[in-house]
Amino acid sequence: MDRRNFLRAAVGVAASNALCGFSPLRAMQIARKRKVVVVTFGGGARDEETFAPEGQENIPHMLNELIPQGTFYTQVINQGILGHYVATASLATGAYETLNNFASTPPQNPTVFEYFRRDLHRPQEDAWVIAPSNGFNRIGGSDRREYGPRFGAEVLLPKQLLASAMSQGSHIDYEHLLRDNYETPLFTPQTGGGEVNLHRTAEILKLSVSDFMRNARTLSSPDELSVFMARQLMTQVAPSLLWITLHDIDIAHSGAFSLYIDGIQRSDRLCAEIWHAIETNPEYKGCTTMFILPDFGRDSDTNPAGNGFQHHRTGDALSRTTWLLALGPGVRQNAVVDRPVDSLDLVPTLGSMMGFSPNFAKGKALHEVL
Amino acid sequence: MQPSDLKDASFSRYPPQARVLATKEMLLLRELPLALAPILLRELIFYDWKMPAERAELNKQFLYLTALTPGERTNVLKPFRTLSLSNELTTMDWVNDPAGFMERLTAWLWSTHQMERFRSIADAYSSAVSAKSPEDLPSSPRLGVVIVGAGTRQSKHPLFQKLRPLGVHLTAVHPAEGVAILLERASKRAALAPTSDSSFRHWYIDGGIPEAIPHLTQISYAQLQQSRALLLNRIQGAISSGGMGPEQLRTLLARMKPDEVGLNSAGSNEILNHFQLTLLTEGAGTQIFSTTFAQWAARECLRRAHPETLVVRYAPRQQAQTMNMMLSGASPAGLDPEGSLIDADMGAYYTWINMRRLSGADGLRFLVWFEGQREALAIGPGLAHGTSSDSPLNMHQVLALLDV
Ligand SMILES: [Zn+2]
Repeated sequence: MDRRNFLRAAVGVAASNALCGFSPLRAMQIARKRKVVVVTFGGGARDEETFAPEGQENIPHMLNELIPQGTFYTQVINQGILGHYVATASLATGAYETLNNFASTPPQNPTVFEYFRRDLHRPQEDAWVIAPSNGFNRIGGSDRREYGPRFGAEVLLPKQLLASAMSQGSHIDYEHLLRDNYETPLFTPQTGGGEVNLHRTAEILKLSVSDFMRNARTLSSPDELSVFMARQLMTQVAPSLLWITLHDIDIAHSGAFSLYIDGIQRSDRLCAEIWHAIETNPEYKGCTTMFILPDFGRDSDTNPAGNGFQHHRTGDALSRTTWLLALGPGVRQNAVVDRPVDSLDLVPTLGSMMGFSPNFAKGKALHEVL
Repeated sequence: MQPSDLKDASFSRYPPQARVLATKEMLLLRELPLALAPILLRELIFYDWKMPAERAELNKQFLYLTALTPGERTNVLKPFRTLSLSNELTTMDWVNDPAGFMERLTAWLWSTHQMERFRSIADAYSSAVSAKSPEDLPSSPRLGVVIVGAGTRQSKHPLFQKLRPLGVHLTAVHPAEGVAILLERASKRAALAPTSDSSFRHWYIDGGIPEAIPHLTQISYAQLQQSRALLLNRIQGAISSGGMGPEQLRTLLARMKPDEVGLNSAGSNEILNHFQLTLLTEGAGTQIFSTTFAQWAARECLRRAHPETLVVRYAPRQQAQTMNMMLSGASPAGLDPEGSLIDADMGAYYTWINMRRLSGADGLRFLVWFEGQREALAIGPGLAHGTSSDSPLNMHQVLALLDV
């Protein structure tokens, strides 16, 4: 079965009794207080382990709860560099970035956060990024003239906070939440300023350091920590633009297939939890569009230059092709879009949806969800 | 520097055999475009520690290029000259750091949108080389055996899903003496092989503590314990001393010698020790997970040595902890036999794929067995695809079924 067909089959089965929820009138009403939550998976997952028949058991929440409520793009092509930081930066700018994946540099083009805040005159606390590793600490804003850090998003690095909180006490209970940077598992970049950030963030989130630590202890992975922080942020600050990058799946680089599968199952569950948080929070319910997309795929089993699921080094079609799910008010439910779209189309879509002009973005808005 | 500037002295830092070969092929090397020369040198620089099959491949490539008429050679090489390269690539020391050149070339090609074109040029070139000099058939049909699942008795998921359509699913294998029978048969194949052809042709890779068995080239996760610890120590030291980015780390690892991780750099095991070192320095996860080690070692063995016999036996890996803990050599929190079975099941599939890439693929015999249990899967000429059999078989009979 080809890619489209099995995705269609997967969605068809799941969506058999979903309703058509599209309503232009309702869409107009919500435009003003519209919020957007973007969830990306760093360390993309392949179709075989997700939407293909043999992979569907790994994503019950996506298949049974989320996809029936949304519009699903079966072919999203990433034509950029396949490193997580540079690819996530490209998703956020709508232009293929060519920055060094492992360097602490800002994106070269303005980010969606800058367009959003500058054009709509929004304060800093209205745009947030929750990023998986220290390597993402510059993703909130570019250096572009007329845009730049003063219009950037607040960047929350839960692991950095945890590490700085840990420096004040016992380590052992939290080590499991500090997995970092699987792409070069032998290298962990350092960022300064953790101490200051910790207390400022704790204040914004109305969370004492000890609360934070107590909650962290009950979580089993870095992504759970990120989602915990996202929920806290939604309750206390309710930003209109929230970008969450999950990263557990990228454990695949260690070569352990079972751990990669665990990561997919966890991401699937966490996506449903984020949607649940949206649906149960009055600030978000009924006015929030959520986008879920992997940053890219992983190598195919048969490309001799790669080692299957382990890496994303070959640049083959499978490692460049992924999917996108959009759900929320005004987005057609139970719909499948087969035409190939580009990873860069996300930012122009958000621009049309929220009313800002992403002048340097290269993609085209996804008209099916507008 | 351009390849046309190459001199004998350019290779003064190469190991002895590589230097001799470079001198011998100097005229040809000078003719190569800059986008191709370092790719060849990346192989040549390690010539002294290459497997016989790899040396044969490199020699064939030189032979192919020298056999062309000057006009033909110009045509074959011309596409590489159409790529535009950066100044940095021209000026860097690509003779002594061809791998670093490759890394920067890759980044350059991506950022200048030349990657697709480079790929098709490189593909056309390597197809031309292999069409002119196909690999010899093995002296006997290749045999691959993968033993999975030690430490657990039940699988939560159906096993061998990806391989089942290709062979016979055996559900009543008598497990007694299974490992010993399989290893003895592999050993016997090695002992019977013509001596001129026996080096690195018959392998046994163990993800745990290996069984003692003669005639096979043997490596194991357990026997590399000290090397793994020394390597991780070295890396930790380098990282904590600061200023160590991924590129510097790669260079550090690429320059390591086997004796730095407690393996002899010279002597009769020189080639094997270099092979083992690269498993640890080039393979992601091989330092911390025995299942990853077994899979990657099998892949590299197949890619580099083109073995006729390969037995891979998996052992339970440690439970996942944080990368930082595992990489600092923290003692395992425990073993994860169920997860390891899932890892090994996928690893067996990858071993089959990699084995199919070698010559004589139609005659390939392949067996994957759930160690100590009754379940196995056999693939070979004459065995029906996508079938299953509940006939009771001991391991000798399983091998007979495969006509081994
Ligand atoms: Zn990755």
